[in-house]
Amino acid sequence: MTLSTKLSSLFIILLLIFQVTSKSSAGHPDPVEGQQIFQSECSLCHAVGSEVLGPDLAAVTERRDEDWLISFIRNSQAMIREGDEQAVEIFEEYNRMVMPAVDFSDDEIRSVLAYIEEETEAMREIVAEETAENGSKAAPAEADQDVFGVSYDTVTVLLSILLALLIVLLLVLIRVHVSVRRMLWDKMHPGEPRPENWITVQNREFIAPLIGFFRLLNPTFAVLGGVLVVTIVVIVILYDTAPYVGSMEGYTPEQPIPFDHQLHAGTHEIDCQYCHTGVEFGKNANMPSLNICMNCHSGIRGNDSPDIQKVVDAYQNDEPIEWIRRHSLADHVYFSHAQHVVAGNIECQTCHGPVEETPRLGQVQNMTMGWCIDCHRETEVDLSNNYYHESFDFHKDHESLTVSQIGGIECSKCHY
Amino acid sequence: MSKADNNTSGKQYWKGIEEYEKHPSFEKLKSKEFAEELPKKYNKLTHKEYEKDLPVEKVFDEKTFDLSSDRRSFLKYFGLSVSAATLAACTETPVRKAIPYVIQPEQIRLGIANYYASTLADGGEGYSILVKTREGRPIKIEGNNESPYGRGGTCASGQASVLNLYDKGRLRGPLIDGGSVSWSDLDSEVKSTLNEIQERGGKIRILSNTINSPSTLQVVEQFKSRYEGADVQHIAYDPVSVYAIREANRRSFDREVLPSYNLEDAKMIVGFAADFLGTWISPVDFTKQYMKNRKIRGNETDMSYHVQFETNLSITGSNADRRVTLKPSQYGKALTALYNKIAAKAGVNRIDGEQFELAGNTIEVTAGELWKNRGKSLLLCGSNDVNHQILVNGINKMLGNIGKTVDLDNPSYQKAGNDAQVQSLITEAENGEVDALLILGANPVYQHPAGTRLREAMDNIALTLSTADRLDETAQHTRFVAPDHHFLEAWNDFQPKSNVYTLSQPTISPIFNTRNVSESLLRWADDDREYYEVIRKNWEENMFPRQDEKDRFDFFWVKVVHDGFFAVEKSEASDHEFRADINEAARGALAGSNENGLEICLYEKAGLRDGKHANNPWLQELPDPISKVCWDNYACLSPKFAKENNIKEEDVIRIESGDYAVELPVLLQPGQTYGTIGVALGYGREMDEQAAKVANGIGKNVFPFARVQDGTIRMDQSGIEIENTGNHYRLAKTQTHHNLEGRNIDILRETTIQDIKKNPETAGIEKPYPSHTLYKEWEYNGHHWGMGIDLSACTGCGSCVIACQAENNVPVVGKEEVLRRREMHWIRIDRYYSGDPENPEVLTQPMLCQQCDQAPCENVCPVLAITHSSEGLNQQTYNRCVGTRYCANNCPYKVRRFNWFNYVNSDKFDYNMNNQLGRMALNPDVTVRSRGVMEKCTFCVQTIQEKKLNAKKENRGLRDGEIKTACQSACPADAIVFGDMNDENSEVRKMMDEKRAYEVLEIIGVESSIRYLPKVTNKKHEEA
Repeated sequence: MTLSTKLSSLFIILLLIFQVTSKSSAGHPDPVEGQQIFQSECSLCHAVGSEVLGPDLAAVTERRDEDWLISFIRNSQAMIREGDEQAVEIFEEYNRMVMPAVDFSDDEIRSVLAYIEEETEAMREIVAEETAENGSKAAPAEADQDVFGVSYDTVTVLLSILLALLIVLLLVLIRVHVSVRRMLWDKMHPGEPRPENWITVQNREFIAPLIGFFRLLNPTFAVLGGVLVVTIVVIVILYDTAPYVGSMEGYTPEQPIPFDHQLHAGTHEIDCQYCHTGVEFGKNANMPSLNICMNCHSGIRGNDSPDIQKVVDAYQNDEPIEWIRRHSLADHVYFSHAQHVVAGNIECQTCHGPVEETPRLGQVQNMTMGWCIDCHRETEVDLSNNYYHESFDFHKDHESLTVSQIGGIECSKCHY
Repeated sequence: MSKADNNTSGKQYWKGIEEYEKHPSFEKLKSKEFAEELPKKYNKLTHKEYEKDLPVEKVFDEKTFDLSSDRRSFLKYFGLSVSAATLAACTETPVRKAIPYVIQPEQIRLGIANYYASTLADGGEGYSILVKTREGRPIKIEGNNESPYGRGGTCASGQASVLNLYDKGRLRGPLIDGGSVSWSDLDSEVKSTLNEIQERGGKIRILSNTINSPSTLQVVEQFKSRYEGADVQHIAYDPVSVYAIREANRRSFDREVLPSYNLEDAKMIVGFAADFLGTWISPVDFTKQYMKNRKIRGNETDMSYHVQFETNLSITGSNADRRVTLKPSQYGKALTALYNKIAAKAGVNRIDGEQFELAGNTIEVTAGELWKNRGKSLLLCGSNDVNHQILVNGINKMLGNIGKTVDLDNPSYQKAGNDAQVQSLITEAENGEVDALLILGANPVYQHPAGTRLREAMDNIALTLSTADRLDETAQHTRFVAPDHHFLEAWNDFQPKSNVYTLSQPTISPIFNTRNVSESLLRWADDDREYYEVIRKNWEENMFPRQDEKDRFDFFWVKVVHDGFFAVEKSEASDHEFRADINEAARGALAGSNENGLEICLYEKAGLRDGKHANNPWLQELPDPISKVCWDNYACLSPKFAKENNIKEEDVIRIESGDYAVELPVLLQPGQTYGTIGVALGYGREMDEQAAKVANGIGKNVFPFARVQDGTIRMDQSGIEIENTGNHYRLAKTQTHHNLEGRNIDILRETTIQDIKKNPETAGIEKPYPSHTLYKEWEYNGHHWGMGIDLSACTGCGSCVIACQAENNVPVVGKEEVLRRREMHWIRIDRYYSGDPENPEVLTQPMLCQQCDQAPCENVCPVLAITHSSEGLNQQTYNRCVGTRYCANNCPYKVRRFNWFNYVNSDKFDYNMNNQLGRMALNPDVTVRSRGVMEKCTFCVQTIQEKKLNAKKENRGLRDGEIKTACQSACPADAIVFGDMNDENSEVRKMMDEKRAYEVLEIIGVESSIRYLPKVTNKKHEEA
């Protein structure tokens, strides 16, 4: 965190304290009381910063005036019956879901609003902080790749300019050289026309050794040498890249339904295993069958989203959805999800990336054997599992063991 | 014989006649680095005779191998391939779909197998099973440990039954006159014809294999009463029948039943032409019982004694302590002699019969041992001659075994065929008396000696109908075909024994437009109920009242569907009065003993059995447990007989009896009785071309050699003429394929119970060499997987081979490739002979990757495709393997398999893996290997990983016995134990700590993770 962000956050906090104290000194809304009320009465359907069932309440006090809010919160249905335009609009927008009327005093409602204001501010502060952090992070990240304190980009630009200057200099020098030679020729052979090869003849002492060197070289060896150099370069390139041939890193195909992991796993915090039921049991994490989708989507239709309709139709027509497979290991690899998730206690995100933050998920890791092995070399085994106590006698001498130390990089652990 | 050839047991072992006789072709290949044949141009060893047109080698014609080219064309090819590769690389990655269920069934979790209790029923035979399904597809059969029916054991044919479900030869729907119709059309046609027959009081005959399903029998009764007025009769028939036992029991004890045999209590077992560990009645059940007294641990000295009298060398004979060969025509004499010897001891009147004795006074000694073990002995006879069986009953009665080891009060319903009724049906049909013939699942045209007669007679029958799942020999000639479900698609119930009821439930929705045979009968009986309802109702009325554990039928039903069986109290076994006229039986038996020239004795192979599942490529490629030949049947001759008649191995001979003759290649089978020919049933199928892409054209049909005499079908015939045709035919024999490179030292160890008694510490086995290693020893801090294999328990039946194939997606390669030694089985069962080639001792040894600690394969891989795991496994990494085959070369056990072709996608390997339907049987947890990749047993690492994860998920340690490899769980003898050697209390640790446990090739110091327990036999007859 840089000094400026620290200062700004300090300023905001001071401002908040001032605001809060000034308000509470007036004897009216109390955000602490508001928080209690909010959590017991409102949080089932509302949140600040996200939509649950009802609208996002962030900055609601800035959108609507306080009196309207107080009467809406107390009895929204009454306002709707009276035909309040704003109230009717919200009611329609949220699927005519009825917000129950409450029996709170104006002050209590104000306290809730104060709490919402406070939360809104806190949220904004976090956002501001994150932005600042990202900004400050970016700088040192670039600074990492430097040459003697100057960044790579700068070095490249400088070198390019230098190269251009040198080329220009070379051209100028050649031009000067040729002009001087021509003058010299004209002076030494007055009146004679210059033969076509005058420059070669004149330059013999300068170019000859160079030509001589190439003439001395056996052309077969020269060609073979060239081929050898090229071959070596190609082999090195192949060796470096071969493991990644066929790697589907970054593969994010268009799916028949643009399923949003961010919405499901992130916003709604649905557990991965709610849908990927096999992950704890066997090798396959398995694509959820449609009946799992329908557990929720029989009720949730997301404003008649055509994509959800596809799910419903497929279910009703008994036609499975043909998803495009994103992760596909070679047939000669036996990979077990259960081994990693249950025995290894590994988070899904370790291999699949920040699922809950990614709307359209792709293959995040390169999933090459090297990647597997690297992880097996570093990852420690969960020695609390009774299996190791009962079947291995050497765990006692070790505080910790990596997967590779118990044979986790042996061939037959994955290839059989 | 050099010293190194001597085994620790002092025996000389050989794997085939070619090795015994040191045949030059064998000697030549024995020490080859790669004994597999290479494409012919590059293999100087190639025989002329098979340089003929071999389909697979068409890939490698001369042109393809002519790699010389000028500079211009080289550049052209180079440029083309580079640009093609570039273009190919530029294509977009294919878009893959992830399609979830619309409504996910509650019990299905993707990637996790579900197990359903069910019952395997092949005719009447079978056992309780668990069906492993993945995402709604059955992929594997496991035994059901809790059920008294089979007790967790399985057989090869049962393990392979899941592949029959995905057979593309199955019918897609009902047919009338070969044309597809709807079920309603078929039903109305069938019903109108049946009604017409009913009106004129005609004869309706239902012919089926053994049906022991109470509900199906009820439905049959319902059908009969619906067509009252017509003469309706249900006839059951078994291709390989034991009808004589039931008939003999009717005459002897007035009970027409097949008894339950109790091998667990038998200390002295005599098998008389009964392959009860391989194919007879209920081999899985018998193996479980038999092994109780055969596995010897520590200082135990209590072991049963088993003598086997037989013609062909069977699985049972190969496991017997003493085996005697005799011709089928001598059965009567031998049984009479045995009766008289025991009668003498019992003080009972002897019966008329000449003096008869076999080599080594066997009958005398056997009679003595039987008498010593009165009430604890058992004589089992596989002959289908009623007189023989009456003699057997007489002997068991004298020995006091009735009510003890022979239980007539809790009979078995596993074989209910009535040979006499089938015979009279054929006569009726020939006389044109039958109006309707409904054939339920049976295939009498192929599987009956008089099949051809029936087929001809069928033309005159108004209504012929088959419920076969494919156009087999019978269904091709019936007017209607109403295909039945595969048993994994249908509900059914069974009563295999009087005290055990089992259920089978659908584990997949019907793949094709088929219908349960019982449901078909219901429709024709104007009943619209589903068969499921019939079963439920039947169980509610008849089984539910027989228990008091559950008070409501729904609870009871849930429990039996879950368990797969319902067992009731056994009745008390009691002795029964013997009423048959033993003298008359003896006279009959001796009169039938017509020693007349060469005799043929037909037998079933442990995998293919009576040929019902001949279109199953797994079973076709399963090497026969004894001969180790796959993809063929052949004429087994004794080496001595063949030599005397100037017949060599793989000569084609013509076998003729009456008006039937076949040409078959000869196999010199040690242990084959002199003067007899053994030929396997189930081959020579002539099904519809589409129905049997695998089975048609393999081997020859020998059912017509069986004879019907005195109302029973006999699987032998005398007066056989043979003639050498001068042709040759190559047999795919696998036994000599994987030689342990001339290291004949300490592969096998065996001892006798007598040696153990004398010297409990070493039992006469001395550890040959101390073990040293220069390599760093591995440290195993966690698990250290190991396996123990008890050679005493291994019968060699082959169910582990098929189980492994199913579990690990092992491809089928076909006969041509097996001939090139390219079979892919990860576990093989090596069969070794020792002693006299006319009657050798046999030892079977499962051989799979030994997961060596100092593995020779690991050191030689140039690309690190084989690595050692911290749990002691040699990890083969297919996607890293480049196919140098150095590892296979360096493997002392020869258990590594190389993928010469892309078996999954090639038209040349038209078996199960190259079509969508067959691929449904693949195990999704195991990679399907591609061409150019080495593979081998992994100790079912997929199961290890799965169970470890289960333990971690449940926050507990791994339990011993939780991980079961496919071979282990399939084994009906529990010969294989797998587990963590670091766990001191584990079963496998105990097995490894046995004094006699040994490593194969211990001397080379590879420190394998598999310990074998030596084979222990009971040489009572050698005791002074």
